[in-house]
Amino acid sequence: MTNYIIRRFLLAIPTLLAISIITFFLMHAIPGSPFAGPEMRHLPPEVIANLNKYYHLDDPIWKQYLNYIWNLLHGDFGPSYANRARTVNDIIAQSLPASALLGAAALFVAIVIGIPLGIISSLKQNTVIDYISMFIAITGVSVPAMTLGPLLVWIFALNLKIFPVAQWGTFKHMVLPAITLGFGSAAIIARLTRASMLQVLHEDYIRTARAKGLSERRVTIHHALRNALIPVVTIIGPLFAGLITGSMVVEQVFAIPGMGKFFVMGVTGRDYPVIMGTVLLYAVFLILANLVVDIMYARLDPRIRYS
Amino acid sequence: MKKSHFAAAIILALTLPSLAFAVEIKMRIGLNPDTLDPNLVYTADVNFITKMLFVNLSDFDEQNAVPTPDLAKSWEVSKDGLVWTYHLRNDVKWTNGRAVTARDVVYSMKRILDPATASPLAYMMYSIKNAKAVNTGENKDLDSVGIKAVDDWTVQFTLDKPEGFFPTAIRSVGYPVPREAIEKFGNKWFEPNNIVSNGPYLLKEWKPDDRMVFEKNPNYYDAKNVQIDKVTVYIITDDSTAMAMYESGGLDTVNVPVGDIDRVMRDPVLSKQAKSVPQLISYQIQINVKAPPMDNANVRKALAAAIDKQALVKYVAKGGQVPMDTVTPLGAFGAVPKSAKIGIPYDPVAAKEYLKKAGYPDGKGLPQIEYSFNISEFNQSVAQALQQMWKKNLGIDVALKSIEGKVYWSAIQSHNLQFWRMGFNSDYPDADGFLYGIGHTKDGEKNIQWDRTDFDAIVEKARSESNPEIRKKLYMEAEKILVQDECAVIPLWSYAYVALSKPTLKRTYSTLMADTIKNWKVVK
Repeated sequence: MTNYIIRRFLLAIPTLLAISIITFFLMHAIPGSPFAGPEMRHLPPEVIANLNKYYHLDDPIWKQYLNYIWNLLHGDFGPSYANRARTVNDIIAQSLPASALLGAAALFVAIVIGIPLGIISSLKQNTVIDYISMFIAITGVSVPAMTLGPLLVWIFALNLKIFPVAQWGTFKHMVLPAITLGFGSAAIIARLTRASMLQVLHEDYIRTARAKGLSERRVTIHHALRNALIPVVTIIGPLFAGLITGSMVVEQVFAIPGMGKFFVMGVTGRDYPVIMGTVLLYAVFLILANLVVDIMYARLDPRIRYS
Repeated sequence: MKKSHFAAAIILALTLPSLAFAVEIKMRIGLNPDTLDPNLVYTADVNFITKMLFVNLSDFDEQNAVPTPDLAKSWEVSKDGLVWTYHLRNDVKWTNGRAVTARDVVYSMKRILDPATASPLAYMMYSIKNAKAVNTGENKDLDSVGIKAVDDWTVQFTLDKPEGFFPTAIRSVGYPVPREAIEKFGNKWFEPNNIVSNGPYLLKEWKPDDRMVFEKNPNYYDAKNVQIDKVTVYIITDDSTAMAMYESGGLDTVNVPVGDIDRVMRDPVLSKQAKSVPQLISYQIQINVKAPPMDNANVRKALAAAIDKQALVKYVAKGGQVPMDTVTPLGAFGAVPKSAKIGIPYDPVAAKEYLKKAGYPDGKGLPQIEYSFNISEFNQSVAQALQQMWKKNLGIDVALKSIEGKVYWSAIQSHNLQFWRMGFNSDYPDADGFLYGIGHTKDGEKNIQWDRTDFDAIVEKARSESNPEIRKKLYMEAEKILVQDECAVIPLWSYAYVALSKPTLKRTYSTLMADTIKNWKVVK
């Protein structure tokens, strides 16, 4: 197992390198520059030349890439053109904690709602309970955070006054954004759990378990659910990586100091180091999450062994 | 450890009573400031914060944008118009106790020009002798720039050629910065623990993307006239979220999102708290006069005359914008009064006539034209309304194209668009900033692609003219060429937004996107 994990870590290096090359050259290929746009219209070419020089954007592109990688190896993600007061390291250090906390809470919401909902509807397949559960799930997938967030704010903050409208800091501040962010994922998990459970419940070994005279509860939890969870765990890995790196929409609606917005603002502002930093960070989380998923497989399915 | 806890408790106990009576307001900024270094601040949204923390060489009247005394008590210009002399107050102090002197002003302005600083503001001083050469690195001698401290309380600027609006042009570069803090802390000098400032407020806390907290500076030179003790500025990107916070009592003042304006105006309580605030920005359509069929002036005029600007403002834009037939927004120097009747007003009959003259009666034979705008819900609704007006009044189908911000800008600059939406602002409230930028064929933006060098001559003359009445006349001439004779720009309106503020807050509104918080009062 240890060897397997080490090997996976080593494999991650060329993966990250490839991601960095592709991202770097793709983002430089988009038209537009960080220092051009109607909001910077008055800048004459002389001033733009100074800015390009300051950030070494006047170097040849291959040199810029090598410099970036060299700095990265020294733990320096570079400056942010749109935030002269902050480096990309500052941005990650200041905004990742809020995003990670919110993402973890959202994942919790997603699992706590999604898995039970999926199990119930699979056990009560084609009954009213199944239809209601799946209606909730479809709603979750279809209603975007942009709608759900303000709706929750309107109900629970402006009318019922149970939770604050926005901002960050206490448990109360976390509830509405976590539900907003987690609900869509809950729906995905619920539908996947249901489908997977239905498949497993028709397997021979379930019939065997029932024939042995085991209680329905034991059959469901120990025999069916454990196997049904494998595809669910597969999807939770990437979901987790996505959730903890933040969501622009949820952060905007609830004014949360997270890092989701930097994924978008980096691109719209052609803030190259921010694009690189966020993409690489996301890639690292995705690689780690997938590794954890693979390790979980071994625990869930005795047939899977890594050597 | 225990001792310090004890000390903290005592300090807390001593400050609590004063805090209980402190006058406090909560407001919002739409983005996390990219920097608080006044030598680098280029984002208009951050201006009000710069003004809270630092004194400026001259301040600005919020209503008509005229320079008013601040650090400088007075200023005058030499007869030949080349030397401007500023006389400073001697009672302004940095928070470390040192006096703010002419040397601070000189240090700060030279720092902006130093190419190593890479300040986006540098060009605002290019009219000063040697400034441009130093900033581009052509001249390595920073001291050769025409900025000089005559004594501790006098600063002198020497220009290359006369510039009538010099005091206005330097409005964003006149904040002295503290050399000692910059040399000690580098790029982090303005963080709460490092900052040395001199303005009406002190920066107490800055949690990025969350909030900034300011407290009154008791040693500010005009502290007796600053009433509000504490200002919390929440960093909230989403307009609707800010609006919801205002309605739940979390903010004392807010700008109303366009989608909420109708509701606010119908609401008996909120409508009383609302105010429409004009801004010196022109929302306009710019046309590439070289791109067929827009190379035909009559086509351009037909498009202009077919736009019902009153209806656009009333039903689409809604914020109390002022429909305009000329470019320079009302409130800026040189704006053309309505009575001058310059520009192409709404006239469907004339519009049809122009199109006929262009050789496309009722739009027949007119090639497909495409109107472009940078993606936003607001621009989209404006574009759709324009499309309907052109269809109704001219019988033509105009295609709409929404483009991502930076791509849109590079498409305009590479002359790939026929006509497009533009929000045009100026660094200073003067027609020069609008007309020179849009229309000068060599030093302007060159987006409209025209070759009216006679226009260049007029705006150049206006720039060096010191008689305000003559300048106004020259700008009127220039506007006529731009929006009427050539119709290379179709102005739609000058910007405005609707702001709400609690009845207890007596605030002022700036047309320059630079609110002066020190003048605000809270009343019971």
